[in-house]
Amino acid sequence: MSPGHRQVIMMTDFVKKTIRPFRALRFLARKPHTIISPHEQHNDIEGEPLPTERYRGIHINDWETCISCGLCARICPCDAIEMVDVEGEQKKRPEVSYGRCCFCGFCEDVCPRDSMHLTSNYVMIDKNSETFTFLPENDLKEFQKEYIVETSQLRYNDKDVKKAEKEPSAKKGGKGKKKK
Amino acid sequence: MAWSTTTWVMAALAPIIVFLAGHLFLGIARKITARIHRRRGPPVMQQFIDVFKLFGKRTSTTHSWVQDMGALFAVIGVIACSLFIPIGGDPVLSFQGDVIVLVYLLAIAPLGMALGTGSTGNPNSAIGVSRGLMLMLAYELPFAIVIVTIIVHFKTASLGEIVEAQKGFLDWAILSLPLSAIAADLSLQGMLGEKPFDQPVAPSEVASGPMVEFGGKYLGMLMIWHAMSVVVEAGLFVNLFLGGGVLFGGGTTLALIGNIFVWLALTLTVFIFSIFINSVFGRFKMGQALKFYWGFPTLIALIGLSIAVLSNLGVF
Amino acid sequence: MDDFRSTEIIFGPQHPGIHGNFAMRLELEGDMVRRARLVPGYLHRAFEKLMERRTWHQNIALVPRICVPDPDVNEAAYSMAIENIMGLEVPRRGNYIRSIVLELSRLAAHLMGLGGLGGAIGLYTLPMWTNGERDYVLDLFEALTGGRVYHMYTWPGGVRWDMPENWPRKALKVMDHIEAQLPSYYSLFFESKVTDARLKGLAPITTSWAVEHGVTGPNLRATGLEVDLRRDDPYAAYEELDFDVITLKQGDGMARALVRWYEVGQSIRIIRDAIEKMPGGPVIAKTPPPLAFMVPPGDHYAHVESSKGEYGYYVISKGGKYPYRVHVRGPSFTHGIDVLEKMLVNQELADVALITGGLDVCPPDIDR
Repeated sequence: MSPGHRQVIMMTDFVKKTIRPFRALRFLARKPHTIISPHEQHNDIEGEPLPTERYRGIHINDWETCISCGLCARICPCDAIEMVDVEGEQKKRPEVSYGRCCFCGFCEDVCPRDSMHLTSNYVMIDKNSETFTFLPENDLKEFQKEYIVETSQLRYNDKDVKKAEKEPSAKKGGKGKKKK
Repeated sequence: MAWSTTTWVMAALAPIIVFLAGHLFLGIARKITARIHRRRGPPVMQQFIDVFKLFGKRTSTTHSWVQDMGALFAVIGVIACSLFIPIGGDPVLSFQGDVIVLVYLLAIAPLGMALGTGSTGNPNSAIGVSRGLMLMLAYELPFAIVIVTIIVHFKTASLGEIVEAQKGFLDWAILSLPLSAIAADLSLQGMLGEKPFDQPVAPSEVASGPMVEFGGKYLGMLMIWHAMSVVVEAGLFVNLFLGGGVLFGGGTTLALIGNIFVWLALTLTVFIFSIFINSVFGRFKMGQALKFYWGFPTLIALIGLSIAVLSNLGVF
Repeated sequence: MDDFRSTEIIFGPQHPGIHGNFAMRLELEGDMVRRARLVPGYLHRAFEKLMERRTWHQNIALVPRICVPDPDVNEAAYSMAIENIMGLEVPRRGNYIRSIVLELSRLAAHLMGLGGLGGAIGLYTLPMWTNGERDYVLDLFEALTGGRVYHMYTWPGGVRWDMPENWPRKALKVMDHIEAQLPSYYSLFFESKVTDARLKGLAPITTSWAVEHGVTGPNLRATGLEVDLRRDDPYAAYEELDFDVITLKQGDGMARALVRWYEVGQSIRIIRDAIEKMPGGPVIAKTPPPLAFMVPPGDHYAHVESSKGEYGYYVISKGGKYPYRVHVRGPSFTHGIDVLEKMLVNQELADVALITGGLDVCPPDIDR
């Protein structure tokens, strides 16, 4: 390779390596890949809504089938589940403390009667930390619905938000009203 | 020198225009950068929100009165600069040689920041300040040559007259002095502190450098300084090379307002071009930045100067 | 050292240039690092001790936390050690799914690592892009395992659940998507004059030096030595899958970054291959239920090739429900303490974050 040839290569390399990065500018005209949460729904690559069914979130426990064997409490690696006495019930029921739970789903795996399940709801908002320890029941209980935001409710669009802003505290529970 | 009413109004309005435009430009820049990042980005007004939030905060620590003065120094320096820049072809302060005064004034604000950060005692700030001054040394060399070229080309050292001389589109200096324009734009990149020349504030190296000990109102002041200096520096480029935005003649108030908007649009274009470079390149090391500035831009600035001198002498 | 000539900078744990939760004390002379001292310990959670008080299965929930960006190697290596002691045979389909999960994890970790390099030189466009793409991989993990970051999916004997029916199709779509993005990364980061100036010739190491200091994985392959546990000591289903071992000769920062970029392509290839060759059958071997799970006395060292280097678990069982002792061999401990301390000497301050990012150091793995 002659020295002149090498210099030509170096020059073209320099020009190429100065111009190529500007290709990134074509993303100016494309749709961004972030979403405005919670106004937009989080979808996977095929446009199916997330979280999926397998997502490990807040527990539910079917008291009809639960035999209160306590296996969930024994397998729990975080010691988050405790079997407690419940008024009006003969059996002990598992109580989950969400300050500890690591959402591994082992309780669901070992449950011999298939009564314990992890739902795909994961948003819990409340000022009182005591509400984060509760007994999972068949369905989310009334008082829990105040602070557990069901995932399906997260998927509202902008119109709903504006509507909700126009009718303040119409849907909120008693706690929301007392704030101001 | 008696000032006309328009000049008085402009003297009051110039810093305000620069303040508003600066934050708006930075907001637009954030939006554009976000789009290149494939994000949605903050609202365009986010910069205003940030600055007002910072001024609403109480300052928890200050190291000495020198630090207070430093931040103030930076803001005052850039306000002084804004009076020298012809906005829409109408400079508030215009005299023979004001280009040179402006180049000195532009250095005052960073020096003020250096003063303030030097007193904080944080080694990151100290390294950041020394990098900033080194970078200033680097980009000032080609930029000074470009200024000399402009003075030689238009045979005047007054910004007002330089703008006056570029009345028609074909008189724009970017067409007659293309090499100098490239050198000036590369210097502008360092002046604005955009990548690849943001070594003084490099977060991953010196933890935001000079800003590291500033919080609350001090940080707010530095943000105002940055926003205003963006407009002043990009505007200087517009005045030197892009005709200063003088589109409407006639000298009426309406024409002046129109010219101000044209000037702002041109400034925004120059700044967005710099933002494009900023978002596709990484950061040079300090030594590489010095080598870069004293190489290619200085070379083409010198060639541009010699062309200007030779054509002045009547060789071409 | 003369105190009047040097500045001490405490680099981290609260520093934008540090790759996680550890610190460095740098003695600077001007802009040059004369001595670097690593200060780990901010993330020490005593994993190895905690594991002695938890049952074999409970530890599955604990081990992924040792390396956050690349968690699945922990579960896989730990499970493999237990299987070896017990003499468990993992079903073929289980092995294939394990390989896919491990490669997805490598993919996600490499995307994050490349983004970290972009962040270290101030090119924030790259991390924004790669992390956006990584999110699609996390979506896949969520659909397969139920967790986005910590999956707790690999289990002694196989994997916990079979794939959902539409999952392979989704995975192939994500692979196509990421592959389509790779040229953009290349033209932005590797075909740039600034990156050349920053990465070429940065902190070069030779093969003999690297071997002497225990460098493994992509960092060793960047020096030209062709080592890859996936090929040299195959585990999971790697024996039956097609892939190339990427090596580069230079051993500098650019080579380390490029090896990672090429390995992203190889991971995509492996995942496609595994989905194509996926056999039927069960995904988990017949094992006793988790609470009655006993491992006979014995010990085994199982190692896997993680995105950062060789990852190993040495498990000792004295019989019973709990491990007697578990020792973790993480690549970041060698890379992050000894190798980094030596590589930072006589480098500029500006390069500290870049070298750390180039070695792909993972602080939770240093401290454990």
